[in-house]
Amino acid sequence: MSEPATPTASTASTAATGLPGPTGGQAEPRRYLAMLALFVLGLMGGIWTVIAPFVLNWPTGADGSWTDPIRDTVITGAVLAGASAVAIVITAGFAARAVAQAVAVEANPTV
Amino acid sequence: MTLRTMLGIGWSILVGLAGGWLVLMPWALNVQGNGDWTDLTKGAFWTGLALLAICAIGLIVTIGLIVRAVTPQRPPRQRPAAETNDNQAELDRALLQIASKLAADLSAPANGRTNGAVTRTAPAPANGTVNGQTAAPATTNEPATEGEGVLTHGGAER
Repeated sequence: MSEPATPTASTASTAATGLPGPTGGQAEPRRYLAMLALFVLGLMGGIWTVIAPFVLNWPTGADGSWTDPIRDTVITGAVLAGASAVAIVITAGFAARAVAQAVAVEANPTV
Repeated sequence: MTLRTMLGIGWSILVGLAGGWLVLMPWALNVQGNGDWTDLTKGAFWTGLALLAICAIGLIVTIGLIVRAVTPQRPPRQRPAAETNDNQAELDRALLQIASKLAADLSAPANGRTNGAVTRTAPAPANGTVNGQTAAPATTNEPATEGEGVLTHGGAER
């Protein structure tokens, strides 16, 4: 006997990502969590890159001004931290939407 | 390619470029001479190397997500424990019924079978007389023939 196809959390995630969905409803938020952890790691790396010249007492100019290595390192770290922060916000939004879809499908699987 | 994968790959490339720049910066800005590494060189080099490692991890994670999303996945084989227990209980009941009927057949040899022969009781006439004589129920011993009077496991005649 064949039953009518009903949307599940997997099909909902497929519609959200455009790719075949996972087998479990909680797999999609878990994937976002992996990326969130990665971006948090990048944010920490960027912050460290910004403060490293001062923590490690890199030599400054005669009048206390920043040298080229300090300036480049701070700029590089700031770009990295900013990009990671933006990526965290975007990924957190996608994860929240995936969780909301999974909860909605599990609450009403026939819709 | 989804926004998620583009975000992961783009971020990983950015981290890789930053790490590569930090690794090469002391020599690119000519702050590291030919002697021992200065604190600046050491700090920039190891920080850049760590960022390159994060870049590699990001690429691996992102590519892994893409592969897992593209690869068709079989639905997990899940047999509920309750269903398995029901099937086992039903099988036990069927085996018990068969065993009890077999035991009943073996323990009742007079029930239509004696030494491999079927004992039959001829039906008495309706008026109880045969040719004017009172007829007693006659019993005959004749060998059992196939397809006739043979008991099966279930106790029913074929």
